[in-house]
Amino acid sequence: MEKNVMYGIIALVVVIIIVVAAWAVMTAQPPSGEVVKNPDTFTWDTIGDPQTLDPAEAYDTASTAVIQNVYETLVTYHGSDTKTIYPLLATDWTVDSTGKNWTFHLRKDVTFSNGDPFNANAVKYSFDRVLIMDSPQTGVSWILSQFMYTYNATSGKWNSPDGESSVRIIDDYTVKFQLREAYGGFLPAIAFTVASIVDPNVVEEHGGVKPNEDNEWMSQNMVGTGPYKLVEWKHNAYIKLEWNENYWGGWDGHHVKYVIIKNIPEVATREQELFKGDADMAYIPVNHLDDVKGKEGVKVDEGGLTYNVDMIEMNCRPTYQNKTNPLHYKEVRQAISYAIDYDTIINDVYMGYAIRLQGPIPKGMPGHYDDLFMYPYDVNKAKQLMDDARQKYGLPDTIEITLIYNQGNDVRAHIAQIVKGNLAEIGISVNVQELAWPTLLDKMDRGDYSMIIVGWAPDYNDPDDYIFPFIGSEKIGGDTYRTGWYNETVDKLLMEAKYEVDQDKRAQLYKEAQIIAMEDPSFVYLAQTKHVAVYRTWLQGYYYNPVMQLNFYDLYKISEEKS
Amino acid sequence: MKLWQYIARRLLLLLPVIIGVTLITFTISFVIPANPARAWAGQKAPPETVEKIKEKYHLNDPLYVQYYYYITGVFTGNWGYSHSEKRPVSDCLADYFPATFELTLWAMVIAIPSGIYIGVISAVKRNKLPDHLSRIFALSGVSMPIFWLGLLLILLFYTYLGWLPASGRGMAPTHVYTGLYILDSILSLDFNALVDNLWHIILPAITLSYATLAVITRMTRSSMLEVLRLDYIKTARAKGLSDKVVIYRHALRNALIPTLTVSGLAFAGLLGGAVLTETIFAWPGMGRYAYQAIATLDYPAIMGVTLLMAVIFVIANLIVDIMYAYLDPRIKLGE
Repeated sequence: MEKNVMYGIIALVVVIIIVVAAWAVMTAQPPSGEVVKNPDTFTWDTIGDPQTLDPAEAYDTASTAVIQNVYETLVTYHGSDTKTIYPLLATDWTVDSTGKNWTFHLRKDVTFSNGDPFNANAVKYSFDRVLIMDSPQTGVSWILSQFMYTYNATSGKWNSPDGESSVRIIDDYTVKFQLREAYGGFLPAIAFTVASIVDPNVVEEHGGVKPNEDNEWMSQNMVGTGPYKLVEWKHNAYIKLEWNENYWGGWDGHHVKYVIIKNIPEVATREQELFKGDADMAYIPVNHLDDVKGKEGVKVDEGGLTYNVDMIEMNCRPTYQNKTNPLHYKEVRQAISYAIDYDTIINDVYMGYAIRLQGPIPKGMPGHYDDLFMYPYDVNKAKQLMDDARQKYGLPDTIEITLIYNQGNDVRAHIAQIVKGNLAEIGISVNVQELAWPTLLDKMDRGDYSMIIVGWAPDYNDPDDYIFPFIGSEKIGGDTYRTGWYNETVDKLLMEAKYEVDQDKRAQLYKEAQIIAMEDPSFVYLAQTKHVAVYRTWLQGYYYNPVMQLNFYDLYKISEEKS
Repeated sequence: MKLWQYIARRLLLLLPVIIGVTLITFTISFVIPANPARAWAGQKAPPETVEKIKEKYHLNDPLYVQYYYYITGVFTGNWGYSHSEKRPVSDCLADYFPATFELTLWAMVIAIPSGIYIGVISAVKRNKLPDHLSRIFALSGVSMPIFWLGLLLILLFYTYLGWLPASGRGMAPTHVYTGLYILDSILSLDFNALVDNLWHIILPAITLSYATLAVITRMTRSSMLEVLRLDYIKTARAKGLSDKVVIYRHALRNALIPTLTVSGLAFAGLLGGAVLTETIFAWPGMGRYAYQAIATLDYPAIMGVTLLMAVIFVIANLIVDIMYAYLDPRIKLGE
């Protein structure tokens, strides 16, 4: 008995010591801010490793974030402005009345970081390369093949009237694009990294261009015309860039010369490195923002609106698992749209860092319609619609459906629970399923689902990149989410808008399509997220552009006293 | 049977192990209803791309045909293509395995001697204060969540004391021969990298070692207590041998056998990747790679990691068996 008491006392003392030590450590103030650390280096603690560094293959955020700072495109965006397209490697351009023939004049003072010259040949080589390679891993070349002539690997010829590619060299510093179709989103599309200009000599020295085959060397190495050069890529650990001394834009003014992008999966570790000033910027998810707000030397920049959207897709096919699919009926989908408590989702799940998504084109993007109808949260209206549908189509009192989201996605898990509660109120019993991503995609492809929570991020700044894959039918190459929704008028409007170059006319066509899509919804349009950047106050030159990656060249660091 | 014959026979047994392990993993992976080609290509990839991937990687063929392609590849050095990383699996393993191996090695360097030492003290001082303290220490080790310990160490040694870094392996040495940075920095006489690498490995190695250290302590304590009760120990004491000789030469050697088994298996287990430690300290190792491979159904990567682990377990067990014979001359290998 005595022994047990002694054990108890010792255990208690040890537990108290541990708890007090942990409490002291957690509540103590971190060391106060000091002068700027590593003034020439920008260190970014983030998540995710690039999949490839080859612009002809890259399609993920982590890859394009590096590519955009090492390679350059003909045109680009400046600062936060998404409305105007500016020249980058091109100086100016003209287009004829058909919208199919574009002439670009190129910069003459540009070399690649290895000293090779940039010229019209490099432009033609780069665009042709994307279409010949036709990346078998990501298929990113579709962005260009929407409007450019494609390459026939069997015949070795281009699918154009004269068997040549779309890009024609006029002289050393002039190129002409002869497009297959006039495409309304041409300039925004070639501002995306897939249209980056690569060095033909470098590619030829390292495997050249082969049809339907990725270039392994190019996926791990980079030689571009941009402000930075790749120094080292340690997979899943870090990427180091250094300044390209030959950069045509010059190094006058304030810039960082070295960039380190660290892949740190644990948010607490990123936070600590930010507090210590070892990271200049860190990715902090919105549910952790309270950890960093008010900390000395840390700025929480609640900048702009992203083009990242979250929705719930609805299976519109007549049958599902060989039974009548209640979601086939427009009234049921309308009722679901009325029954969801959007404000609670935005406030509780997104912690207020989102707005209601108003239809298939996000706010800020060309073609967005400000007055588009949005379903309010109206349970009575939803019940009424469900009653009507039950009578009209002979549906049972309680309808059972499945709602799927991808494993590990906490935001979607939370949304699913709210939606389950909301739909129970109108007699829809929701079976929530958390599935591994490949399994989810398999179900989506086979139409074996009722509803799936999905998200979309921009490739380039054009409504065709959103509305077409969402509500365009499979017939016209849309319906990426396999909702099975089909509307002949909408298909016609979308195809017309795709190849219309008059932007006002396009906006009108998209407006009509959006009105139809809201009246007969195939998605519950949930949220468009806000961008929040967290960085040291000594970091200057930061801005957010929803269609561009972080531009390291514009960043610099000054001591906190001066800031 | 001579030692080399025994080793050769055991290594030969690897062949059926490889076939068995790959066959089972392969079948289980493919039973899951999923569309890996779509997942590899990405949600936005056009259907033609998905079809191309299916074609290229024989995903439309029956399972046994796919397995044939895989296993013949394995024996000819082609471990497949890791879709989550878009490079060969062998390249990924060559990057991540040494990182995990180095971390595990250092964790074991901490765990084994300290675990044995604390275990012995605990047994010898049974029911006295050192014993109580060591048992509480061991109990905390097996029950403390590893991520909590890791974060606490970061807060203390990185944030507040500023002595040690919080993430990564540190700078790569000028020449990388083995992928083990500490060894490579010594080989390439890069002392800046050596110091940096040592500094970086301390916190993750301590974090990773704690649970194993605790298990080794408990195991050593209990087997020491058993051995100390045996007659031959009494005889040794009666002969007038010093405590030190009795404990460390006579008792410990016998008591080490179960400890050795636990250590060998723990070593092999940790090599499979310590996902939590690797995640907290942003250590680019096998654990994170395996986790990512499973989440994206990157079959070739899953297979690669499993296969490597199977080989490591066989080799670790072999080493443990050989050491048994060394510790206890009564054990004869291969009989």
